[in-house]
Amino acid sequence: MATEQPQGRRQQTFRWIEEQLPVEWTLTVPAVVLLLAATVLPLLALVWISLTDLNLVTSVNMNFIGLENYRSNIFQSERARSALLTTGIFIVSAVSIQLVLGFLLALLLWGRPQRRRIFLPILLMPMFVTWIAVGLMFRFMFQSGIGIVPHLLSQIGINIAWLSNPTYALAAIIIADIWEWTSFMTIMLLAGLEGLPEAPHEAARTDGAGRIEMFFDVTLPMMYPVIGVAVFVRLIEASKVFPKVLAMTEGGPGSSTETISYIIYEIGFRDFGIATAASQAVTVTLMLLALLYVVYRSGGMEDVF
Amino acid sequence: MVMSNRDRVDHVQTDNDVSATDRYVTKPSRRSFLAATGAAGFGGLTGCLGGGGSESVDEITVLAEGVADNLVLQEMTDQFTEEYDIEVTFETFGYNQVQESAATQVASGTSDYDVMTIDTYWVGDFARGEQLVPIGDRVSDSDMVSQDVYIDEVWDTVATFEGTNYTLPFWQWTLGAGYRQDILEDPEYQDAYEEEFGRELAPAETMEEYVEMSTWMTEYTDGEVNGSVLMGQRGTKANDQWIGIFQGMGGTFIDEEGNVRYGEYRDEAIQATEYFVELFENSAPSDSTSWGFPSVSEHMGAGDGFSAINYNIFFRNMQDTLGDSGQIRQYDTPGGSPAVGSWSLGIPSNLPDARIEAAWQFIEWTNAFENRKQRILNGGSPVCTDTLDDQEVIDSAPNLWSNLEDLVSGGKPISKYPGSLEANRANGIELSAILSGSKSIEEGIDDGIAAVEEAMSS
Amino acid sequence: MSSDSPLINSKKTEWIADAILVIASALTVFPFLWIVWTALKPEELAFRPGATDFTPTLESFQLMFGRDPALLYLGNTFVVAGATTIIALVLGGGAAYAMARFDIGGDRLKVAFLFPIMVPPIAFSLSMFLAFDRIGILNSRITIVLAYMTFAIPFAVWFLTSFFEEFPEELEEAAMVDGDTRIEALLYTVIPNLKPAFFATGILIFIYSWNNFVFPFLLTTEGDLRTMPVLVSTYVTSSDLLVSHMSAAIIITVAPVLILAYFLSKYLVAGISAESGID
Repeated sequence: MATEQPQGRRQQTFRWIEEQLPVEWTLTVPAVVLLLAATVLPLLALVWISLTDLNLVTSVNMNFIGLENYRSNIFQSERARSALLTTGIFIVSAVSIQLVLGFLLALLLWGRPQRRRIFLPILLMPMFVTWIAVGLMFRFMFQSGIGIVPHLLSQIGINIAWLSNPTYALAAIIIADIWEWTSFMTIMLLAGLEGLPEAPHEAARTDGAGRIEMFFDVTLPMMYPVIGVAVFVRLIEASKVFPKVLAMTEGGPGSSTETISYIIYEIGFRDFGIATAASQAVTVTLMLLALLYVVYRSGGMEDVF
Repeated sequence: MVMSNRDRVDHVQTDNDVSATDRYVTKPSRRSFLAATGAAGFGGLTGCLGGGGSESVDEITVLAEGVADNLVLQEMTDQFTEEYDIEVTFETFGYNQVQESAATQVASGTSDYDVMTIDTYWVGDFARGEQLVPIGDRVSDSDMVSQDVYIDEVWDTVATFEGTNYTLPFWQWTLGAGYRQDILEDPEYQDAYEEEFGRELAPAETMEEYVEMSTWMTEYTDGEVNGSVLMGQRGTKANDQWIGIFQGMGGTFIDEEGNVRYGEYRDEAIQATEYFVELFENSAPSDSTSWGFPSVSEHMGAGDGFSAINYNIFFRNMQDTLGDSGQIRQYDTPGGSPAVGSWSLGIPSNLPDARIEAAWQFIEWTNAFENRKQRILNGGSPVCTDTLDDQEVIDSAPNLWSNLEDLVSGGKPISKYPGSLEANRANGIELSAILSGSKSIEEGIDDGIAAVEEAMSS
Repeated sequence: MSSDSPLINSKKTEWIADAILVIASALTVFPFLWIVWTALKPEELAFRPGATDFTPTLESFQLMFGRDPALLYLGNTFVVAGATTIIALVLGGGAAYAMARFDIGGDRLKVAFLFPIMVPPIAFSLSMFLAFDRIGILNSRITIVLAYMTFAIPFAVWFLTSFFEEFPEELEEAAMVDGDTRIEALLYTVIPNLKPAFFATGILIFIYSWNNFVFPFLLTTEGDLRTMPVLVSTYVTSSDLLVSHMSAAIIITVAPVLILAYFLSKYLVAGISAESGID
């Protein structure tokens, strides 16, 4: 294709830019600067705040207190520990179930283009619904008295007050997450499966391998990188879970569904304890960064990109 | 950058700027207080928000929760505008957001709101941070308002902190006990109850009586009518529901000097919680462990409850919904020490003088006798002795207002000291954990004591 | 080509597979249908899950529009999402191209771009809230767009880099031989050929921005600036749920996105089909 000769003015501008600075810098720097402004500056401020006793109403003039917050609010705070535990339970349950279900669906769509065209667009829909709406939809569906789920269950004699029960409330949130994100797993895994090279499969087939054998010995190992990426992404996203908790249970009953993001919100924005919340936020961020580092070191970055 | 112009889209006038007469009147339906936030949120957008430190201010913005008196007041603001030539815009939200907005606005550079409704728990926090304008002088100079007319307990609850007067009480939400008068007077129930317990069917004076009576009522009606309808919602609601019981046994979180005393009343707390749990297990509706006042009102209004200990203003809504099928009358709470709480009106201190003036004019006007009376007649809740003595007011809701003064005077204010909100919420979370079975009563109370001590001692 | 699915080896299992897919689709669609169903009920019946006898009404939409200027919020959501998408595509695209062609920063820069996604948005919100308040831009659409950059730019870079890397460099070189500068080559040669990729990435960023809840929720106090997700959250009042309003609001918040998503998923499906059969 022939390139159009641009207007003289524009051409001059571009050339001028490219003469002044190496083009790779002009292209990259704006994005980096904007990203820095949006992320690094707030994070630095966050760390700074976490070292003070800033409280939105009582100590608006902050006093520097060093690592005091970290000592008392992360490891000594029972609430924080249990929030970490709850978050952990949530992400492990949700992501593992999503992985299994997603894989199942991907396998059912593998190599079947007509089915794909029909089913995928439907199955992918939940991913695109705003998370607070997912939370409210599921709250509406699970809440005793007005929800369709308790209603239907009671017709067959099962009476569970989902959102008033510590275990079932967490289960309900997990179900909401599964509904929303299984399709993400499906599409990632499907893309992975479809992209697998034919050759090893051919070889295994000529060797006389049965279908199940072939799956476990050939297909699955080749899928590890894709599975890794999908799980990694989902784990990160799931650890931030907040809108669903806010919509469905507000951390209740008691503290049983408080996740780490939720308590940061409640402490920071409702109880005015900004510095406390900041110290918790910094801790969580460090934990996730540690995870990122581990993945980076093990060469996982190749697959992510 | 590419996007500079697109970002500057200004306020978009939409087709929804309907005229002010298209309104939800505070219907006496079970959704009245919720549905009518329509009016509120709406009003919040048809006007521009208040201007800066100009010489004369012609617009003020009020921050309020979308319930009860706030909505009633909103309906009346046209009168204020007529007299003072100042437009009033209400921004209403749910409770949590009102609290968050209030806290952030007083701490920011200049508050967006000129008048804020301030709940009992927050007064200490804001006052200590010097984030409210002291109004003592204005009150004593005024001929429209005065300290004397307020019920003492209400004034103590919310108007002052450490001797300085910061707010004027607006509407109180003391938790009283509302009983179905028609059931109390029904011979069938009376006879059955007397047979069972050897005493008359009457509002309970002690907690023990109350628990027995409520349990019996639920059983006797096979669960059709719950003896006691309660709020178990995690946070301040559960705590508000519980604290009257605790106080009735002599307990308190904090004394008048501001020292935290909760730990000393551990036994009372445990006993109170035992009653609390029993009521939920044997008498209250099964999902009430997550209920707030709307669900309680609904349940009572549908005739499915015999008694409720709740914010007294809502008895009126319950009655309206109930209509002719029943009568709700307010009585003293078992134990005799109801929790007294009140909303108040205050002015953020980070405002230019002109806006403070305008805000004060609104607060003053709102609390003048005539306007207070009108508010009550329109569905509001009284805080003053003069209105409670007025015959018209009493006649408007005799089941509620004739004994209100006694109720409130015998009550005990919910704490307003700094940290109260956090403390009440934390204890409420523990109560919710106890109700759902994740913690034993002792564990929950101990954790509650620790949390309250941490929150209130700084 | 590779219908090597271990699960499907006969007509019978094909049927079972299809049945499972149908069930999965039904479960997926059920909540949506339930919301639409509820939205068509008169308000009193919205709370009664078993109610089936009613004439469909648009009362819930009337309620919703009557309570809040939903159109204004819809507009806000659109403007903010649109601005974010364009900024992210332009700036992120530039950076992605540079990283693909010049290997600038190497792996570390890639990680650096990925890093903001690791941080819970709530952490940003805490300090952004205070910082923006001090600067005075707290209640403004600019604030929200700036906050959205925390994920929009990483997304844009993440996706576009791989697209650029796959695009054969020869075409640009040909253009530059013809006299174009690097930037011109980018604009007039590469990008026109990558329209689908940009389109897909743009849609994804737009959707993510449209859906974002945490930032507008925490960073705006003024009613005027709310976005639809924030509006939806206001329907939870003191333990009660304004079911009718909520159903209507969810429908109008989700519908535009689902339409976009439909096109996006067609693209994704096509992309997958294109890959299969390649060694």
